[in-house]
Amino acid sequence: MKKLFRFLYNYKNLLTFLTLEFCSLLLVFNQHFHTKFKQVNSSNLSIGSVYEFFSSLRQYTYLKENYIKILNENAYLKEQILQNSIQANKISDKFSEKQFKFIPAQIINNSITHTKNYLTLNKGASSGIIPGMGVITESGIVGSVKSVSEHFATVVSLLHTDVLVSAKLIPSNVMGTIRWYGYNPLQVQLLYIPRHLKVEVGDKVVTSGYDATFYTDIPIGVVSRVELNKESLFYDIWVDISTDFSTLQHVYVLENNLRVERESLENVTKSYYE
Amino acid sequence: MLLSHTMSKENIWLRYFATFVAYISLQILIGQASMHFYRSTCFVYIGFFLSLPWYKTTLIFQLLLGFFIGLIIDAFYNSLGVHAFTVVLLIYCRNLLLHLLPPIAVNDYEYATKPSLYSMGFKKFSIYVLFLTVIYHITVFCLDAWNFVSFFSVLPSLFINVVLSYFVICSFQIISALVGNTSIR
Repeated sequence: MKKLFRFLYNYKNLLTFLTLEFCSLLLVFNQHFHTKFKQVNSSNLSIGSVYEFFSSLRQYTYLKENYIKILNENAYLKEQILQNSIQANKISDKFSEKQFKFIPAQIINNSITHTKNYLTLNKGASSGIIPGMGVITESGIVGSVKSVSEHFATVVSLLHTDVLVSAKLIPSNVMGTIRWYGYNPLQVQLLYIPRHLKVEVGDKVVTSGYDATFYTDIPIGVVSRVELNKESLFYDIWVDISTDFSTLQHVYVLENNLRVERESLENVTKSYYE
Repeated sequence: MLLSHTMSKENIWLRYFATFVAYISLQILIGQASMHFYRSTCFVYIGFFLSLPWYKTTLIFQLLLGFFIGLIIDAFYNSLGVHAFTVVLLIYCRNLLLHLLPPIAVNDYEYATKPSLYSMGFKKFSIYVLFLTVIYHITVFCLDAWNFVSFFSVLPSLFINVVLSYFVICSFQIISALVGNTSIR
């Protein structure tokens, strides 16, 4: 026993080192801890406010640019209202108009340099944001909300290697899946487009609306490269993202009023047949 | 003045806290600026761990401190465990390296308690910083992206990151020595 204690004492530095390394590796690779330590991310109050401070410093240089951007967007929205009022006379589909609400928010932290990128927003549960909501800008999709605190929210960016988004190609309406493969923040890949269909460079890629996060026809990007190997079942398609992630400032969080209803119905059907 | 001339115990803790805050602010500013120019990020805050006292502080304490500060940094990057692992590794390697390249105190007979540009000399300090910076960046890269991107495709940006952090850490040493005269050794 004495010898054991002496051994432990002699190697105390090395043993501490190894234990701590083991603990942190557990934290990295065990998914269980990621859900347990939800506080250790940038939607945490103290870290959120640090990021908010630094982004407020940076924001001053962008004021003029943002002003012009918002003016343009306003104009675009006014046009849409005009078009809608013309259409509303023809089709009285009031229900679908009210399904999605837009919550405007500002980005206070953003990254594109890692393989798993996150954004932090300056609005949280107090503004009605809950985990799972979609996030878009006027030019395309951004990601979905991962966790929220009272005043901040963390968003999983589209530039995250684990994120899959249901998408479709526009003239042909074929459904596929969007996934980012790391490194290049300007391109994503479109997966599972079968080889018998025709895909051309310049085709638009938009959301399919098959998940409750996004509605139909939000732009994702434009097809920039198409390859078809002799043996493969599916195309290799590269898509240029329409959102510029490096200059993101303002986003809209999508609130889907019918989300719970839709998901519970889909779950009931699934559990019945499985 | 946080960096005052008296060296009482409380002042030392305050000074380390101020250094830490300065490094983290610098890191966030550089991270936000560098995002527009190239697609990678450097970690300049490791300068804080490189300048921690070593000789009269037990290694266990240094390792524990490194682990918890690493967790705080993980909270900034949403990467639970990655930086905690790397900081603990960094501190252990630092201890081994400092025994090979010991910083010398004012009287030339004993080791200085704190490694710095002035106590180690330019050559030793450069080896010390460059070696550990390379280890840090490679480890973070391996834990973060090991099966997505091939290692050789990120070598150029790794090189830029290491050089940039080296210059930032050296200039930080010079500036902090100019601000607090006694903290040189």
